[in-house]
Amino acid sequence: MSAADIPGATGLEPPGSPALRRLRALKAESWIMLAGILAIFAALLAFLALPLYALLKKSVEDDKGAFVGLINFQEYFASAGLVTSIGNSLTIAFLTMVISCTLAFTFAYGLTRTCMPFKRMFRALATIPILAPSLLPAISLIYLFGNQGVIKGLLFGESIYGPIGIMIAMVFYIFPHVMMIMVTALSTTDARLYEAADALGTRPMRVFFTITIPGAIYGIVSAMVVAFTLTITDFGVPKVIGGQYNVLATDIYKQVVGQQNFSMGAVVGLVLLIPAVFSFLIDRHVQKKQVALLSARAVPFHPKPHKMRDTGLLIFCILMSVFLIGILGMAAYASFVTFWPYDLSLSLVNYDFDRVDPNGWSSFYNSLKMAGFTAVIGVTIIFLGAYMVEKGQNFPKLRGLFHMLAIVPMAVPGLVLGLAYVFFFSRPENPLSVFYSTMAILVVCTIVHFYTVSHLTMLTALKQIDKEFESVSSSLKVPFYRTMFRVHVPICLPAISEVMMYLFVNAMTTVSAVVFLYSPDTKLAAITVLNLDDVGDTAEAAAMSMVIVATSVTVRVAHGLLMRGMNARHSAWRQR
Amino acid sequence: MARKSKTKSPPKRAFLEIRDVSKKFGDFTALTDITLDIVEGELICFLGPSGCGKTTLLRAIAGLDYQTTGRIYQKGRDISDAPPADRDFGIVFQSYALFPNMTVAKNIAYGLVNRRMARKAVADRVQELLELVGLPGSDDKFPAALSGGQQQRVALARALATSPGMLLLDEPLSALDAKVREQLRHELKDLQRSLGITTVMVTHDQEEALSMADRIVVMSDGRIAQVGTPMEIYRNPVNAYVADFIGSMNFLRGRMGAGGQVKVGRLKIALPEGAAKQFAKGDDVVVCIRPEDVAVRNLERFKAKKFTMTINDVEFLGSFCRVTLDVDGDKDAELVADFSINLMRDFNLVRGGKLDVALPGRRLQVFRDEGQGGEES
Ligand SMILES: Nc1ncnc2c1ncn2[C@@H]1O[C@H](COP(=O)(O)OP(=O)(O)O)[C@@H](O)[C@H]1O
Ligand SMILES: [Mg+2]
Repeated sequence: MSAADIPGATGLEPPGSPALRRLRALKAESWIMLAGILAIFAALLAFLALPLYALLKKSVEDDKGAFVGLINFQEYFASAGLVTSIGNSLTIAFLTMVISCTLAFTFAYGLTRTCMPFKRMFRALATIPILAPSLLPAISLIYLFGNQGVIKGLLFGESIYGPIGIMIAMVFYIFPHVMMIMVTALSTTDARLYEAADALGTRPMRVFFTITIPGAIYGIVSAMVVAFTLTITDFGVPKVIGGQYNVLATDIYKQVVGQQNFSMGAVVGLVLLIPAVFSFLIDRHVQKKQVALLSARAVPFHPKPHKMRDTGLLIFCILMSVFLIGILGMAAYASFVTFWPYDLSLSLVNYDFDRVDPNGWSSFYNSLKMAGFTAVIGVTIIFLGAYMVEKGQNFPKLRGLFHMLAIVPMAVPGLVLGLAYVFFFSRPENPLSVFYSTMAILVVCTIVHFYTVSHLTMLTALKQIDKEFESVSSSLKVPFYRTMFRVHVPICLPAISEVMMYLFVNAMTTVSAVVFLYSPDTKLAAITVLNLDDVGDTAEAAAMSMVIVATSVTVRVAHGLLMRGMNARHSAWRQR
Repeated sequence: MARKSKTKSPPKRAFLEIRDVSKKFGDFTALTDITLDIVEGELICFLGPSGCGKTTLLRAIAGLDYQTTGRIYQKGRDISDAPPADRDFGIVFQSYALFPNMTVAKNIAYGLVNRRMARKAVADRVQELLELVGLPGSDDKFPAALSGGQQQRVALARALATSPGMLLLDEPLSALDAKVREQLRHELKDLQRSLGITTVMVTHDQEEALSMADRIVVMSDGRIAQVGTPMEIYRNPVNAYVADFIGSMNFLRGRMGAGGQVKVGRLKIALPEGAAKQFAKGDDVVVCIRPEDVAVRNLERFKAKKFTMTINDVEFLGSFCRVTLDVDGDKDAELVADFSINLMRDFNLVRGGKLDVALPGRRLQVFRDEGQGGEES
């Protein structure tokens, strides 16, 4: 029957645009969704995009705020000292990348491709450095190889203060990040490739170079990029052990905190942003390819025993663990020694922080408070943001834009973000300047700093949830937020707990972003470590580092217990 | 059973009227000018290969994704721009989409709780629905403890809980094993008939559509190819595409010769008069006949000519045999026929043997040949 036969059903479009009509027909819940997206979007704009713009603007202004074009850049590149730092930074980053990737690959190979024992233990040991601020390995190295170091002789007269110290400390600090990427890369392989090679009688060396390496290549590239970026943007290590060896990260600090030269600080910040953005782009590109490789994967690989290989890698993993434990152990030991190196009796005297720093223990409580707020507020915002990106029903363009903005923090080094905050929030004409030098700005800055990884973790968890839940929910006339609370939140609890732990531990250990933003009242434990080391109270610095490590370990253990309890309680419906 | 929407248009409006609905994803057109009436109480199937736009049309009906242009009326009310919550339907997906952290009872009650029903009334309704879908006593189980078939029953109960005016099913049986699928087919059909609920079911499985639907909408590339009862569509496909998609079909490509005959390889097939008139001499045509329509017994009955063919292959398929025939090595005129075991025995059919067959004129479908593989839009 044609439309004309039926009274009423003309099939004609009513006047006005369909988008407008649909907007008008939307229920209250959609407006709530829109308000939510807009709020989080505005927050990211205010606390990420606008500060970065302020940094950019500052780099073309003089200290009084007048526009001067590229003069600051000219001045920067005319200064031999500053340009040397670029070379130094690149050298250090490159060498650290090569060393840490080689070590991490070998370690990961042992964990994934051999039948050696204690794999789980090695894996757990290798993640220790994540729990400590990057200052810790540097302090520890001073005790080991410094002027009064225990095994100073091993350096054959070279000084630990400088490139050697920076590199060793950096290798310690970035090892877990690089190792975990390598493990993922080596885990995703197809056993049939190896069986085919075996059947053709291929020699092991050839198998390694024609199958193993190409199969893991994207992961390797990704690990290299991460190693490079982490090294070039880290501030704590070169600050403590760099000596006279200048790098970009310490230059920023010196320009801004030392010489109060904000414009020049902005220029160095932008220079530091270049490698970070560049590696970020490479990493994104490579990860897309990795996904394609992964989906083609079929039969999981199970290593067969091979005595020589297994023994060799076991020895390597033991040595690597000794290195990691040794660094941590040295700092722990030094923190208990009464007066290095003259009175080696053990005591808690170095933990009496208030003796050497008026903000001693209070800085630790500040850190706990800051980390707690960061974890709780951060996970709430990040969950809601990820939920809207992944499960939102309307406003696709806005959601896409928000997702893009949420990825940006990954490309912004902490130092640069902190500096950008200084420029943006310190201006009295900015209404948001009331935040400046409060606890709130530290919390906000830390959430933004670690936003991307948390956002992606949450997104992954949400993606695994049936995408039809929203459709079912709206067909049953149940508003989306009710289903979100009753279904998505419970299912995502493991990811929520993991993101909270991640945010908490990072908030405890981070230095770079907050170093420009704290005030005496809001000083953090990791900053206290920096200050103590600066004035020569190295033992107290080691002790404070250990307090941070202990806190992180506690949180990590609590997370583990929570997960176990949750899995037991929800065993009826939770898989795994 | 056989409702013909095309001929007798009732004066009252159909339950659901879809008018010129099109849907674009960017530059890609997923639906083109879909116009369709759905009658109250019927089970209508959207049938077509994967990617032809069935789900897109279903989601437009549900309001989950709006159509780009066109109108949709439910019981005369224009719902084209209404959000899903303002429409009146229950929906079931291939993935079941049960909330894993809730028990069966909580899942079923999900839409009821929101309506401020008394707790007792909700519990009673849940029991009633569990009985209805044949799962009494499963209240406190979690979905993970149920088989796929049971999960889909729970999903169905949840969709029916609020007594919606229309039920939308998107490939509800596709994720299930063949055995369970067949059983659920019957149950679903019985349930639908006894409740009398207007139901739209999307499927790519022609057998499913043929066995369950009151009417089938065959879709291809975002358009409707044919609408009709299963019998109409099986017996009188409107084009080679539909003929190919529904059931098995022989496609004999040939050219119109003189006297209403089609030349296929060395065969000359006489067309019935009505069919012959549509084509001129020299036209490229496709002659279609279903394997079960190839005649062997009592050939004198047919006016059609006898052909002597060689048996190339015999495939034993349980209750019948599928036999591949050709005319003296002429690959252009290869023919597949389904013969009962009885017939196989009576004629002693074996590979390499000879056989006389006829192609009864009233069983032939003839279409203009417009390319490969029976494709046509
Ligand atoms: N959200 C979307 N964006 C872009 N293209 C889509 C989207 N959804 C579906 N399509 C495309 O529209 C076509 C029809 O899809 P769909 O209706 O799901 O097919 P079916 O259900 O018949 O298998 C497909 O080609 C599909 O790729
Ligand atoms: Mg579909």
